[in-house]
Amino acid sequence: MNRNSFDNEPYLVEQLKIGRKEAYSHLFQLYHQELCNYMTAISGDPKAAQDIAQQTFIKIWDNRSKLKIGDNKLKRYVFKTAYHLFIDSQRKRNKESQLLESLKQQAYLDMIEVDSSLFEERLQRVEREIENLPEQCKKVFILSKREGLKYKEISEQLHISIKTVEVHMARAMKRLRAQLASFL
Amino acid sequence: MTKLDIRRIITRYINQEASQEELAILYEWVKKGNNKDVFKKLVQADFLVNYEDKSWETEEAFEDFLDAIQDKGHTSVRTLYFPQQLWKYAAIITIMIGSSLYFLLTQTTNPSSNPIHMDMETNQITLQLDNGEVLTIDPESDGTLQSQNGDTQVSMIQGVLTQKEKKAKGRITNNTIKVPYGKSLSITLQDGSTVMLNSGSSMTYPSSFEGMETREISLTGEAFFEIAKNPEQPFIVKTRKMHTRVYGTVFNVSAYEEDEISEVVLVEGSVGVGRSFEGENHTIQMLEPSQKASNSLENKDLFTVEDVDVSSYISWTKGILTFENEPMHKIIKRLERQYNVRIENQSEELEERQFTGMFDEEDIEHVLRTIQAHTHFSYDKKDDLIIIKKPNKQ
Repeated sequence: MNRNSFDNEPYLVEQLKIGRKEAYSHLFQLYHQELCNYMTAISGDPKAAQDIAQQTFIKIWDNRSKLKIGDNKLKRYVFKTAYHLFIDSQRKRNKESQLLESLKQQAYLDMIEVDSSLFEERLQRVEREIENLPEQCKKVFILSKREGLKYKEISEQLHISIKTVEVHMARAMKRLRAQLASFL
Repeated sequence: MTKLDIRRIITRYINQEASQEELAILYEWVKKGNNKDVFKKLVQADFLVNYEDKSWETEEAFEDFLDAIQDKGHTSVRTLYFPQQLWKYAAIITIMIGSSLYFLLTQTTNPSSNPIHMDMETNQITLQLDNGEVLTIDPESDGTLQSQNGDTQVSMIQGVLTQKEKKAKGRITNNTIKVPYGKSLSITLQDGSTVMLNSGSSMTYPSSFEGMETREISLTGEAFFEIAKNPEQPFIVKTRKMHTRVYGTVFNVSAYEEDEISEVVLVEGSVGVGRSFEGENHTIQMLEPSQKASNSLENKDLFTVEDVDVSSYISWTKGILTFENEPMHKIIKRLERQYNVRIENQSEELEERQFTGMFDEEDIEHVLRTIQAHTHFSYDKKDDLIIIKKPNKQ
């Protein structure tokens, strides 16, 4: 590999440190999409996810002269920075939260480090499990999670009560979680 | 603890809906055996369910990034536009109460006629005990103080104040803590509840709630409460115009005397709001999370209820100053409290101009210069007095 290519991570980090705009452009190309997906999954809010992604890159720029990134840890560094921004925006100060948040963070960061084919496989597994949900349960779940409808909108569209929507969602999540946790 | 219960709590935790109590249960559970791994797997399973591969505007984001870092080149002032909606998960309410008192007082030329300012001029946090003794508190350094009669012991540990009475007495002793402008303080009450007091606030509270039907404290200013749950003994925050009865666990009260509108904002849990003169059992309005109740100036029998984004009401607990479409005259009052300065605005047209912004531990001049970048005015700063003027016409 060409030593002076942005694909060479140590070189990229070096160029990020000296504030070369092209290096930042490359960093965006590398991680912006995934970071937005990742933060949306965590925060449940695409708009907030985009804001955090933006703040992350700006923060890296601000700290560029002090960047300390281990070998092949750039991705982890970027995602960790984003996650910290997300946590900082919430008020979590007691010891209970600190332990749980750090476990949560480890869990999330583990997810970015699995290689993309395994990650794809896991996502496909999720899709399969969703397909296997009972019919009405599946409908409700897809309208909520994939199409982002509110429970009230789902209840109107499917002519069922909000309570029933809640029950379906709880059942779907319980089942998915049980199936997924067993293969992770 | 059944398996089902803990899963339900984990779900609530991941959705940021867990109460303090559930958090404590989860904390104890996760420390046992290999529960850490179980917890992580459940987090990851949820992550996968929520994960979607979508397309994002990377090019545009990069352009915005270039603009953002370009702006930084011109000035070191940083305006943060942090995702506000994240705050909606925090378990807090805010109450703002006040009157026009402040304005009348600040218009006089003699600052000592303002009782707030007079207190604040000491620039020290003070704790007045029931016997009249006044202790000076320094939140920056840990230590323990004893009252002269030896009955009361006050400890400062890592910015949190705790108070102990030597012996349980048959009578209730009241204490008043005062926090001057430019400072804040956390305090743990006898029942384990914690209170974070914002600048320019004072609170009166009993040394012990034992043997009382309700846990009552009175407040002027603003405070963030984490209330120890006790359904047998409701917690009531009294302010001059409102009282708030707490059914949930965590909330924020702001009751500065200088604001005309009184407000209550609830983020999670449940509170009831009533008017002070009617007694604590008379609740007028129950609030749902993310709702704000304000007293109506026209009709004193009503509270107006609306949905709000609570972020700007609670950011102070993190040392962040947030304005969302806030008129300059309100911003000025908040700056005065936060930075312990006096600001005189001579530009009438500026009074009602609205600004949105967020400041993270910037100094007052940075804040003013940032606002200046969006509008035209000039200001002079002499010691603690800032005078805002109309721009000089050329």
